[in-house]
Amino acid sequence: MERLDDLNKIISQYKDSPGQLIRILQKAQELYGYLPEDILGYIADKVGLPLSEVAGVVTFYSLFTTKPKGKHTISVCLGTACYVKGAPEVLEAIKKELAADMDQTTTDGLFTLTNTRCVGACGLAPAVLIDGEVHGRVKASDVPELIRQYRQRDQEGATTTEADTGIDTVTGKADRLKNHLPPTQAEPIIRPVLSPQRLEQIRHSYAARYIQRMHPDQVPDWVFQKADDALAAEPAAKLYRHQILVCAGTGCTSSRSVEIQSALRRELLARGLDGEIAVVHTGCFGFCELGPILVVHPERVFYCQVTPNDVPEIVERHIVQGQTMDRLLYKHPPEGASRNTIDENEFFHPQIRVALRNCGIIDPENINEYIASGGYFGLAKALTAMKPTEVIETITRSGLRGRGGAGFLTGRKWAYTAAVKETVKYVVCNADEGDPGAFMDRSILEGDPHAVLEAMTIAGYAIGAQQGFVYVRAEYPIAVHRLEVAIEQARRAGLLGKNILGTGFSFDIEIRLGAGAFVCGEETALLNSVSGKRGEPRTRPPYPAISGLWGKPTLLNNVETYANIPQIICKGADWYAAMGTSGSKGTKIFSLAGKINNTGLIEVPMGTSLRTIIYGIGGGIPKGKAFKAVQTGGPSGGCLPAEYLDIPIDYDSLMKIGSMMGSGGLIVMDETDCMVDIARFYLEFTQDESCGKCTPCRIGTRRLLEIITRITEGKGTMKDLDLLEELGHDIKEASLCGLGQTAPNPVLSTLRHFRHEYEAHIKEKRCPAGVCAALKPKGKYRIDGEKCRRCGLCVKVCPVQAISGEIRKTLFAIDAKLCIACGACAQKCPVHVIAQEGER
Amino acid sequence: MKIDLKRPIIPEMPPLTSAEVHTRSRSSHFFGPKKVRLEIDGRPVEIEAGKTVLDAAREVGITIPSLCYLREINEIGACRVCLVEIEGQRSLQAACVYPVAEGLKVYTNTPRVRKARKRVVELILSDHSRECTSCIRNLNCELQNIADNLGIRRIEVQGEAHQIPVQENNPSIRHDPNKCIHCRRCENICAKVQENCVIAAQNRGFDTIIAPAFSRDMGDVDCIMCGQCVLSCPVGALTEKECIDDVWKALADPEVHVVVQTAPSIQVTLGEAFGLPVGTKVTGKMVAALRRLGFNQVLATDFAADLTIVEEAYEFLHRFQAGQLPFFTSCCPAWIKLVEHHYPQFIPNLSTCKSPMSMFGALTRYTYHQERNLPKEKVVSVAVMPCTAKKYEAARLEHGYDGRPDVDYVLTTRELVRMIREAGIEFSELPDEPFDSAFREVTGAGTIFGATGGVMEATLRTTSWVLLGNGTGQNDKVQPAPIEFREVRGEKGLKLLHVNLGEYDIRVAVAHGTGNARRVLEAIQAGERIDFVEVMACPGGCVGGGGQPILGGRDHKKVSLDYRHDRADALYDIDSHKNLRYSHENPVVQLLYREILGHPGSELAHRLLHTEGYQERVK
Repeated sequence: MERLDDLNKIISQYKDSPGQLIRILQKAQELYGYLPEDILGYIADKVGLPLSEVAGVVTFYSLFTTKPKGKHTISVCLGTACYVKGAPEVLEAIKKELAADMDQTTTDGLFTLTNTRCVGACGLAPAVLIDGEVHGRVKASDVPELIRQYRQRDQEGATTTEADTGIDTVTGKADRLKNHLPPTQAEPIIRPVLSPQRLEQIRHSYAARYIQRMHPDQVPDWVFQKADDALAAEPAAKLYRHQILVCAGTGCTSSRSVEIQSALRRELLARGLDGEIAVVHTGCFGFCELGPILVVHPERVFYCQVTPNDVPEIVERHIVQGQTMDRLLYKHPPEGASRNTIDENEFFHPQIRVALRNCGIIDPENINEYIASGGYFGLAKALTAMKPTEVIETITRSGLRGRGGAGFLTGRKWAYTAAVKETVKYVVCNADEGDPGAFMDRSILEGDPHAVLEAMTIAGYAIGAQQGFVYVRAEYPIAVHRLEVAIEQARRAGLLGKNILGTGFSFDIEIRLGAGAFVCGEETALLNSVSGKRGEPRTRPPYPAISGLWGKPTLLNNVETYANIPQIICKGADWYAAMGTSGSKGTKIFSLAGKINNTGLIEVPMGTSLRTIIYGIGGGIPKGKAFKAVQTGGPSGGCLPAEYLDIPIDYDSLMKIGSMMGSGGLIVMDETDCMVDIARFYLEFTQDESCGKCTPCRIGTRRLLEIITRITEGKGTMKDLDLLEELGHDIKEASLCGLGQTAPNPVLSTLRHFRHEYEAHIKEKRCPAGVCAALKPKGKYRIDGEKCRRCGLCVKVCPVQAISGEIRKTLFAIDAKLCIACGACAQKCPVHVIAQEGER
Repeated sequence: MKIDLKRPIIPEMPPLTSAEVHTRSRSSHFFGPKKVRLEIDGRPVEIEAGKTVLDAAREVGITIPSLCYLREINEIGACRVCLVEIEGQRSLQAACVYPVAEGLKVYTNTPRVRKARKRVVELILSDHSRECTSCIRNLNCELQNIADNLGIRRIEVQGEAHQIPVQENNPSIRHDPNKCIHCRRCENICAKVQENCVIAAQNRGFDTIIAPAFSRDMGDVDCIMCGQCVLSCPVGALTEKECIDDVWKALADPEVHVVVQTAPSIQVTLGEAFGLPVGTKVTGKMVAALRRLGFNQVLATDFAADLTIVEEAYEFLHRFQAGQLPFFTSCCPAWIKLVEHHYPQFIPNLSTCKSPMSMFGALTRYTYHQERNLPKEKVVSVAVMPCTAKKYEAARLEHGYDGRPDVDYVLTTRELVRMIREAGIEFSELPDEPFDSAFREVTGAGTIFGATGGVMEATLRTTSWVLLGNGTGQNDKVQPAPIEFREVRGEKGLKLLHVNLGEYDIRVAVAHGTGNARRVLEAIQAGERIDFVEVMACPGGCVGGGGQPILGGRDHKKVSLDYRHDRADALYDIDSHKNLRYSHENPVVQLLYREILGHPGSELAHRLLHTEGYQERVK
């Protein structure tokens, strides 16, 4: 009954706001653990929707379940980075350990096993989530211990103690996260910003603190002057002796950066240093491979792979004694020389950060720090000094193209939406970053959420909209939390809502959560999902610019695109257009993952070569392995071999060689990766994520997958290769939306560049990389002596007389030298005690 | 006690625009008659803005194949069979949803287009239960037709196909998901036209299934069994539940006397299935065919329609006097089920009259065997109906007499077609034969029951005759009663009007399609005064019934839904040529009251011809 009361509260809270069915379902699932059919009937009744539609929504999104779950949900990340780093083996180990298959619950009701698509913890690959806690860098051999600890915890009835598995752990759920987060500093004081002048004042009073974190070269002199003035006027804005910045992005949070912050505060407090040393949690530095990351300002010393145990030593040696701790410094591969400061670090110094400019520098949960970094000045400029047409002009001239994948000219999209004469329009931010292996949008939302809010407000002004929606994946709890905080702070500051900056312009933003459907990254599917429906795309035209959300003109851009906007407005179109190549202006964020030393997030000018990224910033391939391919553009992109390492990457050059920019995922593969298997992996992903609306994608991708699976199992024919090519081509031609139109790309590009690997699988029944299980060299057979029944049936079927033993008298044994691994004995054995080596 | 039947006259009805499901406005409404010029396969076309490339191609005599497209009901471009090349577009585009635009250049027959279309159809076939020769839709299947037109000779990409148990719990509709091609026509006709939303897409991707919530059986949900999904299904995924075998069995039994009745609309639709033009009246051939199939007595339900009108008109007048309004017709079993499920508060407003089919059945049970001296249990009653829901109605306990259902077997028009074919009867060569003598007399009022507005019009004829003083013997007061009430006819989804009969003002509503029916009920709930409501659950009324012929085979450019109008015209034509056009003038009806029933609403009439009311249904 109590739960029903709660459910009623949830329903009445959301039911009058349009399209909130998904939110209601999410809350109901939190309440009940799953979505029982009768509860769905109740919800359908209350919100006035047909049950068939509600059930259709529930069964569309993979985060919803109508079956009760076990006490713990184990979710294995099967994103690309995790996949190439051994997630399949981990999954197998978990299946064995639980004796449960995918989407099954163990008989004792303790564990439910599921998989998840990229949670953006690529730096910690392979990642396993248990009840939302991310366990990073899990090895198959860790699995029994990991599960044992959960079992044990339950038996002891202890619910609070953390399992100390030696594996990096942290809570991932937003609510629990709040409990885990120590108060960074006192809640920021939010003052209403009613005019551009007031914005300027706030900037000045926080500037001193902000510039301490900047490289002196990056800060104009006048800012120093203003900061000095403000310091004189307002001693509260004092400078700290040191500011210790701790990464609080998903990656580092997973490796206990929260504990590091707490430990730092405790340590400083204990030594009475808390007044002069500030601990600030920031967004992602991008160097996820080496998390948790900690930077000490003003000397800009970069420490990595810090643990809570290192804290006393850091405080003692660095803060008190003023020495740098060599042990925690970055060592650049392969020679391993230490790099003291962030500026000397090869991972950082080739980067030019525009969209990521504030990540790792400001506290994302403090609007004042954003303002101090120049935040909301773009909005102020647009609202007070520019006409909407001038804003659009500027964006168009900057040459900014959509960072979501297709690369449409952003300014032109704005102009189309602005041109429609309608009083109600919407601005939507696509934060449904679904490409496995891409996590730049998550990072921006976690590290600099106000940049997105500011850009959306500018867009609202430019096109004539008053309402915005951010559609964000529910798999990104920290990003959702930061967005919520940012929206709340912006509203309190008057930077969202009515009469912004006293200009008479009004704009507000709401969050809508995704529920686990990759296709919702497609714009028309996203709009359906925002309005609470199944995320099925629809045909275009009409484009969302004409008829989008609830039939109204709607502007859609992704997070990274928006993150560039305030800077372009502030610094001008020419500044932005000066970066990049002729067709692709500005900078692009790439997420580097897979077989690369420095997994992480980088931002470089368009036109940077893959070689610079992989071997310079990325530090090359680990363990001295040879580079084989780099996959760009996620499931829609393609795999490029070494011969393309030197082409400057931008939208057009990638298109030309059969791949695409996509959202900027770069997954590096080495000689131990099988390209046929990689293509199969991507196809499995897209066909699983196909919405099922149009024929070519619903059935076609399934057929493609069946053919390629056949090949990886050694059952393919050369004709299958032609069929793959033909069918892939037809699916691209005939599909309704971008998902289907690009789904065959990984197959087509690997066929183009790695055809020999396909042929080896077919003609020689051999997987050159030794990945495809069915084609692995066959191990010899062995009899588990203890369990042998001494029946002797195996002896009779062995074609090479490799088995010896006396019926009913002795245990039987196989002579490995003679065994030809035909498997006849194993098939015959009535008690199944004969197995191939390598099997359990 | 004399009750004042006068009611205040409300001059203007507020418009209920949203209810007009069938208005053909499209965007031409907004753009006016603006035309655009485009080029299709090099030929210039001029067409109204707002139309699609598919429409434009038809203008130049090109039929672009399509499966999922259903005008104004399902325009989703999902099946991808209608792909065309459009200059300037990177990928191929779905012609059915691509709006025409000035200067557009379209190519409908290039190697690229043909290859893609073929591949799409091949993929559909690879996940389609291809038991064509034993499929109910064999030779009448849109997929089969397109596969043939496109010259599909082999399925190159074979693979896993769905194997989902066929759902058979619904007494009227059989659902075989393995034949479903995911065109979503059923889903959208159920949602947008009928607004019942019984079936919708469940799950995602390859696992998507068009089914009730949680993929439940269609018999376990609040389906009203109207069968519009069956009519709109291009293949054999949704079909009626056949009872042909049972009927053959009864016909073959020499001990059994089989009586068949045919609903008014059958005579104007049956011919279509045998290649006759839509709207051809085949009353005589139909009777001849039924006789050749071996039915002992072939009778017209139209007679019972007359009887229904008399009972219903008197029930209405009674309630009108007592102020127990609004009053709802009850001929349509799907409509009744809708009220039971979703508007139980209106159950008391439903007429207690059985439908003509059930009245006919009850009378058969009561008198027929006596007259012929047959053992009661040896009379089998069969009805040929345009309707899937009638199968369900026949099985309802409320419709029964002496513990036996009023009607034993209900055949849809389509099932009758199959029986005629199976028997090898050359339909077009049949002579015209009259119905058998019992209950042979029918009036035009009974005939128009088959079209939307027909029941209303027939009732108004008799009601006005009474209210205008006819039959009182006081001839000085008599005004001639009108015959035709043309305002209640036609395609408009919802008609609200007031009928002035002398000193009485009656406000009536006629709705077809349950979406429109919902609008009427909502209006009443909102306080609208409506006295008398006619609802037929199927758009167009019974002529558009879920049991009517589906013309999905070769050479049919339209779907069954497009034929309602012509079929209705044929019924009105029959009516206009009748001498007797008031139900109460039917001499057999009059005889029946004189000899057996006494008077309308008598105790026996209630026992035989009325139900005891309906109950709320949860499922």
